[in-house]
Amino acid sequence: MSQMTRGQNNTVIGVATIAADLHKVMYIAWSVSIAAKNAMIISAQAGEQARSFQPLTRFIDEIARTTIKSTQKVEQESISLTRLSANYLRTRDAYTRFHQVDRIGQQARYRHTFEQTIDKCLSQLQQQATRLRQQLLRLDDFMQELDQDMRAALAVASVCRIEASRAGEYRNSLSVVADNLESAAREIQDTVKRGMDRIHDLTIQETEFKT
Amino acid sequence: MKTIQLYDEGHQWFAFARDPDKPEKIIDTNQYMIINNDRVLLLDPGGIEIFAPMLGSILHHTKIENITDLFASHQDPDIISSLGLWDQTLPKARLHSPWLWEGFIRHFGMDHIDYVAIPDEGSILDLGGLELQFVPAHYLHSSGNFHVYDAKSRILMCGDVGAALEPADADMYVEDFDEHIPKMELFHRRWMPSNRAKNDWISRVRDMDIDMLCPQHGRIFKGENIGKFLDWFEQLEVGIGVPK
Repeated sequence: MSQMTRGQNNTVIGVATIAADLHKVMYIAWSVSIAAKNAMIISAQAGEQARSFQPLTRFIDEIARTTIKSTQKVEQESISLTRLSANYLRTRDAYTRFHQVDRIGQQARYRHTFEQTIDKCLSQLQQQATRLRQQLLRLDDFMQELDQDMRAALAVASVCRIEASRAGEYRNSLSVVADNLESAAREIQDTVKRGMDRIHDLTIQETEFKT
Repeated sequence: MKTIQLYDEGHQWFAFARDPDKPEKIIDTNQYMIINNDRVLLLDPGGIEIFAPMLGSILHHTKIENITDLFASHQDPDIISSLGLWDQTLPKARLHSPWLWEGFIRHFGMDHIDYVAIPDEGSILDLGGLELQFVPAHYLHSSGNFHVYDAKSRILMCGDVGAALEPADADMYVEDFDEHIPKMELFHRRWMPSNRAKNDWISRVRDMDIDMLCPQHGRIFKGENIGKFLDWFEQLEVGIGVPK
């Protein structure tokens, strides 16, 4: 396999891997949402002892819901990009083979009737390359939004820990909520960072393709 | 890729085969082309790996826009995996192929070419005034399968029937039939599943006026070798993949 084809394959694999990773993130976000609901119950039971914790639980639930929505958006974008990458790979392969035809048929009487096919293929390839680059940038923007959400989640987790420490006998249960939120946020952040690194690598590869 | 003109009396038949640069592990195949003025039919146009040499050869004989029709005898990749490339090449064309395989063949890529489904009993293609028959050959080997008969040139393109496994530099025509048998035997015994289908095909083909029997692999049969092949094939026990 040529280096260029290998690079194009990496785009398909890279984007598909991002989509798969983000699907896992959704499950993490769901579990945070469930934890938030549990925390609501605990803090309701705790009553006055956890009064300042109660609004935080709603906030945690909101973060979880926003994360799920953002992740779904990014996942959809990744799936669409996987499809676009595969189409680009196919068009690129066709273009290579059309050039082989042109080379083999150099002396062919009707070679000129094939020129339009090559031109059309090149135009299609250029359009697909442009769309690929634009969609990679858009995916990167979405991932950055997700990263920002997780920074906010970590900040909330810190506040939760402080408020949990003031909740008397319910301190341990509510601390667990804070720990879970922090751990989930960090895991999601790591996944997002890996995704952004992958996009960065892919973006570089795409700009190396000459059309 | 070698180009051999098989017939030239008003319309023309060409065979394309024996590509010396084909990847070693892919099976060698014969592709055919019929030219009738500005209408061209490609028969079993071949796999993706030989698309370039195939089209490079075709362009010596006809314009791209004259290729109006493709025929795929059945669904195998060595016959039609190049479809996605033809789909991007031909401005306006139709693919004639068994109705049974439409959903499968479309997996090779088909956004522009029209699929003309051939019913089990066969049909006729009018190629600019030249009548070509799609002759049923089901279960030889594929369960939906056709051959192409040109009554004018008396050529029957017979797909996998008559196929032989040979080196890429083999001759195009069978000379010594007895010497040719070992090259055909395993292919026919193992690939052809049905003795009943085989004998039905033979009885129909014996009634046809044939000067050339053109398989998709191996060599072309002419003259008395056609009768010899039918006799040999008739007595052959096929379908050996399942023990008796």
